[in-house]
Formats: sequence, structure tokens, C-alpha cells
Amino acid sequence: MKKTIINICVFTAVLFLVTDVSAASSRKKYFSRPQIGLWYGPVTPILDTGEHVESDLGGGAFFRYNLPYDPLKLGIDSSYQYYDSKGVDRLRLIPVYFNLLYLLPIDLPIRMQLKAGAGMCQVYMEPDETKQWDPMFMAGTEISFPAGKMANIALRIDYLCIYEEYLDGATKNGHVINAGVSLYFNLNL
Amino acid sequence: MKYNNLIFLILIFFSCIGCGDTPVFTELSGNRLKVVIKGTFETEDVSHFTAMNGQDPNVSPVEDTNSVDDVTSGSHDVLPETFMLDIAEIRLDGKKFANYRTVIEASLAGGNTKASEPEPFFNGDGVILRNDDPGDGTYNTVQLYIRKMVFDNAMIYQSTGSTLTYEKPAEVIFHENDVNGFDFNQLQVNSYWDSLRLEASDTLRIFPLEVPIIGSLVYDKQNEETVLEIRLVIKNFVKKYEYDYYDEGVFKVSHYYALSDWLRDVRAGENDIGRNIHAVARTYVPGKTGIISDTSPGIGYVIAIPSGDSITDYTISATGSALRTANVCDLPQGPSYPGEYIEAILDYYLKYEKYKFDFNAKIASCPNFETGTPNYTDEWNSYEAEVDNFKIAPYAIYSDGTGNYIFNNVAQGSYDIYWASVPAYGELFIDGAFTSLGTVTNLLAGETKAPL
Repeated sequence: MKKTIINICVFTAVLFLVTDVSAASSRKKYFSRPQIGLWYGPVTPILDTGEHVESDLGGGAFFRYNLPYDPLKLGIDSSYQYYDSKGVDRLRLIPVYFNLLYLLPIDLPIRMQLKAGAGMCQVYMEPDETKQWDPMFMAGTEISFPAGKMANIALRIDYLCIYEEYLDGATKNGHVINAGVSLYFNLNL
Repeated sequence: MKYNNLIFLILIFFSCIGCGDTPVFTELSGNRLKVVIKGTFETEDVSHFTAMNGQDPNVSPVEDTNSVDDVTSGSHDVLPETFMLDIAEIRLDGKKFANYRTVIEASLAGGNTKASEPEPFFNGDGVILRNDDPGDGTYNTVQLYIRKMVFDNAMIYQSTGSTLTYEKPAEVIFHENDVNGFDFNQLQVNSYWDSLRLEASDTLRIFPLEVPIIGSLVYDKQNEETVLEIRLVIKNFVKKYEYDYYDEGVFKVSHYYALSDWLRDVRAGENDIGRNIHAVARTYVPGKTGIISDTSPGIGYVIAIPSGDSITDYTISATGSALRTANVCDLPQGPSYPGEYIEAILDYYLKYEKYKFDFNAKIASCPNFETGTPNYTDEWNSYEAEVDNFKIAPYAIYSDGTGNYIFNNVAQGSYDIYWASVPAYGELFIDGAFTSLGTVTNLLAGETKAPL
């Protein structure tokens, strides 16, 4: 096992060394622009929530804008997530949140970002037909592959906590993981 | 700068939408509606109908003598021992809230005391049906989607020349297993025959079984728990019938057990037994119930019905058999064509000749279709009006005449209280059976009242 890990590390290091790192700095400039994009992928309820509804596919859109401190961006993100169950319960989530994205200072052709944020989530439950907005928090990470001046392709994974425990009678929060492939564009603004 | 304005607008949006007050994820994992199903006429007790066990399966009242005519003394007939029920789904006023399959296999061996009846389905405790809670609202009916209803110990007799001899026990697939028994669910239809054109249409009575909720279910999440109790009259309400069919040209008869045809009489040669399941539902919120208690007037049943309901909704004017006999336009049904086997086809033509003879004998007493007296339309309409509106009481308890009767967990409201002696085996109540014991007015939570 240990040998395998060492082999993977060596292979990865060689891969980075032979990559055209000279192009990285120019790509970094493009990546620093405002960005807009879409994502699509599996949405998975976890912990208590995962005991009652099942995974499905979801998708969303986002917009990111630069902040004075270069590695940081401010993003707004929204998505549509619909969860089925073995019974008749259905859950629809439409989170709308701000997040701060921090670009890790690793000078590589790929971009790794950490993100954390908060916002509101519209929760709709069937068959009760309850629809309301709840506060929510999120944390996640993203690996982006710049594809030219304009486009980026990324793999993203986010954890969303829909916070309800402050309500009378509430004992549980909502927990979901969003993973997905995203395509987004650098805007020349 | 314009993006700062956009962010400012979004922040205003967040501040305006406000947060909800329903703990959705807690509701998702919890269950406030408790659905209970029972197989007795009694609300919270074991069955005190005349016991089926100990009776002879080959004689009345267990054998339905006007249905069983081909094998009148089944050499291998024994009483059923197990009742099997397979429920696919439950809905409230057509709205989905519980699509969990529930399979119940209940022994019929228990006695008429709580100590001697171990089956929850029959001892007043009931079997809980899993559900996902409906939305807040008022519901008037609950629909049971029943896949199968089986009593075991059904026997097949086959034609061997001039006699019918025992062949084997009937088998059916129940809960993905072969079991001995007969699924009478498939026969829970009512047919409407056009005897002249030899056509019929069916009304399916079981998928779903429409159960009225007496007093309605007012479901509100503010209540910690709400109980919906569904009762089917099963225990000690069983009769033996005969199902005729051809199997590869061989005439066969299956003796099977199903629910009593006291309401809609089943006669020889008929396969449909629909609208003979008596079901009712009631609802209450634990902690918001009262008690009705008084001294029993004698051995029998005490029932409580919503005040103002006509007691005749809970009775019929005569037994179903008498009602059907009184219908002079109850014309005979034609035989069904048996298929490709020559002996069966010859049998069919013989039966068809008999059908014509019976029809000609009967049609003389029903000469009109829509006008004139008697006429076909009025005769059937009055029959349907009598049997189709029959219901059973939401609260029923056995009173042995030596002490008090007591209804626990009675929803708030006003009730008329009636008493009747125990009906004969396989029967319920006809007009005049109930004696009024008075009315309980405005029963409130925590109160104990006697009828006045």
C-alpha cells in the first residue's frame, strides 16, 4: 500500500514537471476574471436526511466576482435539487447562497479552490406541501482545469447544511452533498 | 460598482423572504399519524360474534347453502385457520401518503378473551400501517389498496365422470410464497348483467376499498399524534363458497372461505362476492378524547354513532338474501363459454338450455324495463339503495350484561348510543335491532359521560 502511494506521488510530480508551467501564469490571469457557469451532477442526502430521501441528479448556476485581495472571490450560487424516497416523501431544495472562494497558492495548471458560504434555501416537502425558506451554510472545494482564455472545466464538491434546529420542536438539520462537473467562463468585464 | 448594487439587491431579497417556522427535516424523520388496522367489529376488543371455530364447515351457517350446490358435503373440507391480507398502499381522499406494503398473516385460532387471542389484528390492539404523514387538512375517506385476501384450507374437487371427487388443496401465491388457500380478493367485484345480451360490467370493490372515516380526519401537525383506526369485520364473519371453473376441459369446484354474504347474497353458480367487506374508520387525538361509560342493558353490542346519524344507516331492512329474493327482476345469469374442450362445450349447451328455461320462468314476474310495475330499473335501484349505503358503527363494544360498558378514546363530539343483541353467525343488524340508550352531548377531552 505504502509503495503504491509513493509511486502515485512520484508519477504526479513527474506529470507536473513535464507540464508547460510557463503557460500557467498567463492562464492564471484569465482565471482571475469574473466568472459565470453551470454545474450538473449527483446530489446526495447524508446523515439523518439520507435515511429518508435518496440521491438524485441536480444542477445549478453560479457567478463569481473578484475582491480586492486577489486569491479571494465572492460567489453567488443557486441550484435545483429534487429528492425522491421509497415512500411518498419528496424533498425539493433550491439553495441560494453567497460564498467566498480562496484560490490555493499552488502554481500549477490546475486551480484548487476552497469555498465557504451562507444563504437561504427554499425547502419544499411533499406530501405535506410545506414550502419555506431556511438559513443554510456550506463548505466545499473545487478543482478547475482552465481550457483556454475563456472556459474552465471543474470538478466540485460541496456540503450544504440547511439549518433548522433553532425552530421550535426541531431536532434535525438537513444535510446534503452536491458533487458535479461544471463549465464556466471567464468574463472580460 | 454596478455589481455592488446587484449584491446589495440580493441582500435585500434575503432579508425580505423571511424564514419558515416548520421543522421540515424533523417532520421528515418523524411520524405523527398512527394508522392502525383491526379485523374485528369491536373497536378495542376481541371478537364476540358467535365463534367460527367448533362449527361444521359442511353445514349452515359456515357453509353458504345457497352458494354451495355442486359438492354439498366436502369430504376434505375443514375450517380455515389463517387469514392473510396483503395491502399495497393507503391513500386519504385519493392523496398518497403511505405506499408501503403491509402483509398480515393472522391465526384464526384465538378465543374471545384478550388472554386467549394473541393476534394483534384480532385482539383490539391492531396492526400498525407505516405511513409518511399526510399534509394538514380534512379527510373523509381512506382507501385501502388490497392486493390479496386469503383464507387457507380451500379444497379443489374435480369431475371424474358422474361425480366430483377431492383432488387437492387450492394453492395461491401470497407474499411471494405458495400457500394453501384461495385469494378471494379477485372476486370482490359486483357484476351487472344484461341477461338478454349475455353481457356484464363489473364494479371493482377492493382496489381500492373505500372506507368512510366517520367524523372525518382533521389532521393538524400541531398535534403530537393522531390515530386513524381502520376496522374490517373479518373474525367470525366467514362463510364457505363454491367457485366453479374448467381446467383444461375438466370441470372443477373450489371450496373456499371468504367473508359472509349477509349483505349481498351470493348464489349458486355466481363467482362475484363484492361489497361484503364491512369497513369503517375513526380518528382521535390521544389526550384529546373522552370516555363514554354506563351500565349495559344486557348481553349484546353497544354502539356509538355521531349524534344525528340515522340508525337505519347502520342496518338494512332485511337480510341480503331476503332482499334479493324480494327483487323480482333478479334474472338468472347465463353460463360462460368454457373453451375448446368438447365435453365442456356440451356441458355449456346443457347449462344454456337450463338458463333459457329459468329465464323464461322468471321474466314473467318482471315484465317491464323502465315503466310499469314492477319494472327492472326500479327493482334494482331499490335493491342497490338498500345494500349499498350500509355502514358499521365507528364505536362498537361487547357488553356481557354484568357490568359497565366503556368506550375509551372517544373523539370529542356528541354521540347517540344504541344497544343490540348479538347477531346470528355471519350476520349483522337489520332494522329494529338497535334500542336507543340515549345521547352523549358535547363530550369534551378528559370527560367521562353516560348517555342521557
